[in-house]
Amino acid sequence: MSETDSLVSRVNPSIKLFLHLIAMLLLIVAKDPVTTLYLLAIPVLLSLTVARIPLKRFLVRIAPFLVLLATTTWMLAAYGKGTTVVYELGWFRFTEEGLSNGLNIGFRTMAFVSYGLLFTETTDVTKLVLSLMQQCKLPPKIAYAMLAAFRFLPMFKEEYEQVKAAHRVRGVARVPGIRGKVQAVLRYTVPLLAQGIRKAERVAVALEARGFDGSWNRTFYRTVPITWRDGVYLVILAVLHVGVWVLVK
Amino acid sequence: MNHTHLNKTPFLGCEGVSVQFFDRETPALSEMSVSIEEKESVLLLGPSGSGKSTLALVLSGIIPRSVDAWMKGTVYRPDRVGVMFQDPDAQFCMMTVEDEIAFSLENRMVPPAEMRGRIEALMKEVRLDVPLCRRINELSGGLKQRLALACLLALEPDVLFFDEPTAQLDPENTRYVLEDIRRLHGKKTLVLIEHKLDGAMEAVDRVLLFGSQGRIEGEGRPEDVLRDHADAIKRYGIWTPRLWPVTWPELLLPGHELGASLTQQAARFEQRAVETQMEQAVRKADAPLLAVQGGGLTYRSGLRVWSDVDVEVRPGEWVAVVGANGAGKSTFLKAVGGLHELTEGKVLWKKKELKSYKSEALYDAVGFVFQNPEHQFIADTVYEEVAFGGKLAGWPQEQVQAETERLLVDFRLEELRGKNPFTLSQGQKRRLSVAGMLLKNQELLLLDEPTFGQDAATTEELLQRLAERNGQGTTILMATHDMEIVAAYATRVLVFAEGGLLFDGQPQELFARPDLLRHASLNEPLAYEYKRRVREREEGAVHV
Repeated sequence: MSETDSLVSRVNPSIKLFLHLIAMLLLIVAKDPVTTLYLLAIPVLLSLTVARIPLKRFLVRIAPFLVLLATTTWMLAAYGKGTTVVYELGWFRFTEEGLSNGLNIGFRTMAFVSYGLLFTETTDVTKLVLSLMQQCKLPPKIAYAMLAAFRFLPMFKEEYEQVKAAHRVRGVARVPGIRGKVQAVLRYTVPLLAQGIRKAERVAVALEARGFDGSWNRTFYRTVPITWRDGVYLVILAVLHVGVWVLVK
Repeated sequence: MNHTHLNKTPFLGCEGVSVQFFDRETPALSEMSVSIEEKESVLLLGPSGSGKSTLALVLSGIIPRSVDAWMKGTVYRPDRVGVMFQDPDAQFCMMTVEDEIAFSLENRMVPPAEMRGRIEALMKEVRLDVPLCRRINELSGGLKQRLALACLLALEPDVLFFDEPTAQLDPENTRYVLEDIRRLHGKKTLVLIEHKLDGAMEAVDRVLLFGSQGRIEGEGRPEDVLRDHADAIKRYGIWTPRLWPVTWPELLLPGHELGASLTQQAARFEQRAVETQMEQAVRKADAPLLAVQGGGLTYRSGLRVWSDVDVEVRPGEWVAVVGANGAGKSTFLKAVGGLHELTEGKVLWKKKELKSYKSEALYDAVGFVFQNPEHQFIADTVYEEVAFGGKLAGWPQEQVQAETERLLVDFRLEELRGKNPFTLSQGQKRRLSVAGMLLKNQELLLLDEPTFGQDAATTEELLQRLAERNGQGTTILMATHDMEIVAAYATRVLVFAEGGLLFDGQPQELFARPDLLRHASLNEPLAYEYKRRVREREEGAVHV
């Protein structure tokens, strides 16, 4: 997760998370593809305007999910039940009901992804965890464990590459048979787990040695406040949703 | 009222402490009594597994608070202590320097308004000269340890423990940390566990020498312990300082004992250099085993590691690959081992492009020993680990068995044959990882810092085995930070620095150029430094 400097990135992360979840609930309620398409436009519009995510970056991030959109829509449209046949191609029967259902689900998935993207692209992970502690009363023990774990992700990837290379030299993949192949994959996990568990233990000991006891007996260097920006963001989302409602009524 | 029973409560110490970990059969400490005075600096010295770390954990209160173990005895400790651990990456939980130091202050419930000033003061104190919002994963290992120190000093500790703080650092970053420790000497009570003693001994008032079975074998002033227990120290394979307590001016006086032995060593190196020169001249006629032509490597992030690298390696050479951390030593080994593709140029193995080989064919001829031995472990027992390659290649059973047995004996692993590789000690893991790579008698052996973090005995043993192989014709490419090894074993050195190959030649040529060494932040081998200083002094005397 990273952060662009924008209105959305200054919204309190917990509030943002809550608002996005509500918007997603509304998406589930929407039943026709046109409404869903309008609703999908909201996070896309926000991403490119008030969140100031560059268009190219947005497209790169969302591209993999377009494949998902295409396949779900195709599957549901081509195999869905329905009576009004729109188009026939070999044994694919596109019905109006199937198509509508397929597009609806497809757009909904895209909208979910867009809200997720809008969140992760504008939220600093430290601020998120601090906010979860300060606004949602997440226990510090869990919160700081989450942060420590997050630090390990890039290290884990590097470690995985190393193990993969080492196993290639030793010829693990050459062990014949399906059993051999399965074992080859399992063998990656042992050094990764061993290392992971050891690192986690070390961090836990080191943090305790620095006086961390997991309790609320602590001060906060940074507070993640609730500000007028949260209200503005709420209003923007509300207005846009009302707009959609007016459009489709 | 208990005070009347004790003649004096130590500032820091323990009485009759025994500790046993639940997964071990023997105690880590038995009936240990230690007393440390305020502002004293104590070095815990001993072989690996002798209980040094355990004592530090007990004295700092981590055992039994954070680490489970059976323990008895009394511990005396001031309220506030800080511990620096060896893994620079496993001590933090925040993303930025500022937040990490703040975390310590938050734990002590320091009011937020005071924090900014304190953080800045702490960073100044440890000379961590980076922006407050610098991300921790962008710092070098040495600077991470400096940050760790700032985080500890934020606790305002009365005692600081250092548990092998430089074990994972290269020479340059090691210097940072040892500098910090020297600066704290006399200001705080220090308990130090450290293997790299050059530059650390100046900060030590007293040494506790651990023997086996978790007992203290000797203690006293550092120079006395090093002298009186020299035999035990050698037997345990403990590293000793290269020079200390001797200083350069003393050493340069005529007739110094150490000076004489260094002169001998320098003469041996010179003899070696002459022989190497002749060997290399003969090798020139051979076809190169390995060649890099116009090699360059740029990471996907756009970061260029090195470029314009042209190297030819001929059969039988022992090539040392040196340079500061991040100069691209490991990447070079991986590139010539076919584990990392070049972004420019090509690698030739026996005149054919490396890419054109199937990995089976290639890794029958090329072995790779990784920096972390665990990465290459694939079997459940030590025996299987060594035998794996032979079984896979479909060798007859008798041959697999005979060759494996020989390696197990050579690497002193025969008694561990049934153990799981992951349960071995650090030195044993290293020996096993090398043994496992030698089974197929590969023509080329690539080793990524094989002696890193190993004790003196394991290092010596490993180098002996490699020298034997090299004598039998195995070509060796080895990344290392240890210039003494380069001087004593390599026939050729490649120096990586500043995005390229800075030097390619014989060791003695490199060590004749102190400017180049400094440039690539490499140490000068002691014998070479001695010779240079003697020469400089004589020249100075002539000028006067």
